[in-house]
Amino acid sequence: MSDSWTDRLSAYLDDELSLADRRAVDEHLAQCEECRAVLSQLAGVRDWAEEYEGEPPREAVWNAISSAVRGDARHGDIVSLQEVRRRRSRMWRVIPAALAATLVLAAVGAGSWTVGRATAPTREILVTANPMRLITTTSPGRSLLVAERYGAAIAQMEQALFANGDQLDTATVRILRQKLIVIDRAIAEARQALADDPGSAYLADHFTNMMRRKLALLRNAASAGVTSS
Amino acid sequence: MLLHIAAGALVAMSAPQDTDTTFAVTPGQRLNVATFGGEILIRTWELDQVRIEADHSSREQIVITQTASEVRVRPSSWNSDFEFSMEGEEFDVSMNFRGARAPAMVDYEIIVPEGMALEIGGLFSDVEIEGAVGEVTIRVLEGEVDILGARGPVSARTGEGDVTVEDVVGPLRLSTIGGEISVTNATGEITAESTEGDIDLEEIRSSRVEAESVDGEIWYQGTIEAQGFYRFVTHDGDVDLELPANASARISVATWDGDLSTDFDIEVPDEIRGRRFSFTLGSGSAQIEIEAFDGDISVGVWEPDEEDY
Repeated sequence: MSDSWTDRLSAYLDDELSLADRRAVDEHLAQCEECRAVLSQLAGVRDWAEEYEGEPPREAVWNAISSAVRGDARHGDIVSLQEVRRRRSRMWRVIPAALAATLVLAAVGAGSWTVGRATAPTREILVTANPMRLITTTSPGRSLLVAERYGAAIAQMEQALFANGDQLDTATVRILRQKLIVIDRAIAEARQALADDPGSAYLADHFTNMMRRKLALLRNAASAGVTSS
Repeated sequence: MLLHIAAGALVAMSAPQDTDTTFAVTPGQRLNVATFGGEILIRTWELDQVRIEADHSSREQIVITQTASEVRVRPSSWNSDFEFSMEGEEFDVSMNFRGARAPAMVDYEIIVPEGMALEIGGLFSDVEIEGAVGEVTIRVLEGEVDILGARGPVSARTGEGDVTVEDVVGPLRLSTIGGEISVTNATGEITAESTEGDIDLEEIRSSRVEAESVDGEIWYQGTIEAQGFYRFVTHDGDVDLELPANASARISVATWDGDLSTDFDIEVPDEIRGRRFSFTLGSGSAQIEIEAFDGDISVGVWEPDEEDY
């Protein structure tokens, strides 16, 4: 088994490969027992994810989100997006080997918060204090759950920001409002598309990504903290 | 006049009006400039000296403070209550005006040793840096950022304004909330983010590129390295890639309201709306992700000049 093959198994499972690539994977699977096992594990994760309905986040999760929004997350609380991206290329390589453990952890794993999206074969990675506690999913429903959590954090952030709007520098407010219009429009369009095609993993990911962008923008504005008092 | 005291001690210098001063610096010292508004132009030379020319009102003075690790440059109206933070990855300009006077506009022209690290911040400032070899960090709330001929890590972030980078070697972290990002002839990892603005990456040699916009087009013209990772995502705009004819990569594309076109010999399904579609070029050693929610995706062939490789 090589990285180039395991890379393609998730896309194979989701019927997202070109015909030529699909044939190539079929031929390889016929010869490679290890890849067949990984494919089976991935299918198990997918099935579990589709059935998983999520659960209300614990208070500790909201505290962690709030802490991240304030920008004072400690190491180990929530991994930064930059860090997630830096780890991305090497992270997915350990996923097949950790699938069994992941499933177990996912079953008991409350208290996770999505901060980024991994490369194939995962659709998303939920990162917690323990970097090995990864939950992988191709489920649009799971993405929406994550989006809801972003939504709550965004609402909290907006309330905090604009409640103190008179303390914000006018230039900051102007830039912030202009760009929020852009992002809100993107979120609305992504939400509508997802309503039209609720089974699309791409649209679910995109919707979540737009929510993440908005939260990041609000957080940046908050940390700018420009005052003219 | 400059008083240069031993390591760790503070040195202050004030000039009565327009400033033009040159003083010695030691290796390892970084230049930290913060200003309310005005242009900041920084060039390099081979001398172990810093020259600061500043145009400002007669009421303003330029305060230069040296420690063993830093040369700190502030207008005198930037008093002790006027804090300015540049720490961290995020947009973290922070300040308050509690001074007796309104902050002044100052235009700087500064020449520094080639390898001197630079930390530049401004609220309403255009920043232009040419020939820097050390680490460059720029944080601007509103203003243009231009970086030419840098050789070292560059991190540039502006709230409102374009970011333009040319002829550089080194990892680039570029961000603007409202503005375009343009990178030409660059070697090294690139991260580029814009909320509202295009991202143009031309003549790039990199094993890792991530470009993301919400409302803007993305153009990438560059090499695809073995085991490299490339990600191009926008909500409203096209994504156009120009890759070498012999590129080896697994490519995943996704769009909601757009089409995929390519010069490469692959079978493109009639309908890819709302789902990811993957295909492989060559042996597929690199990984490329392309997403354009409301825009077309094109993957064309780039035929670089010999010297581009």
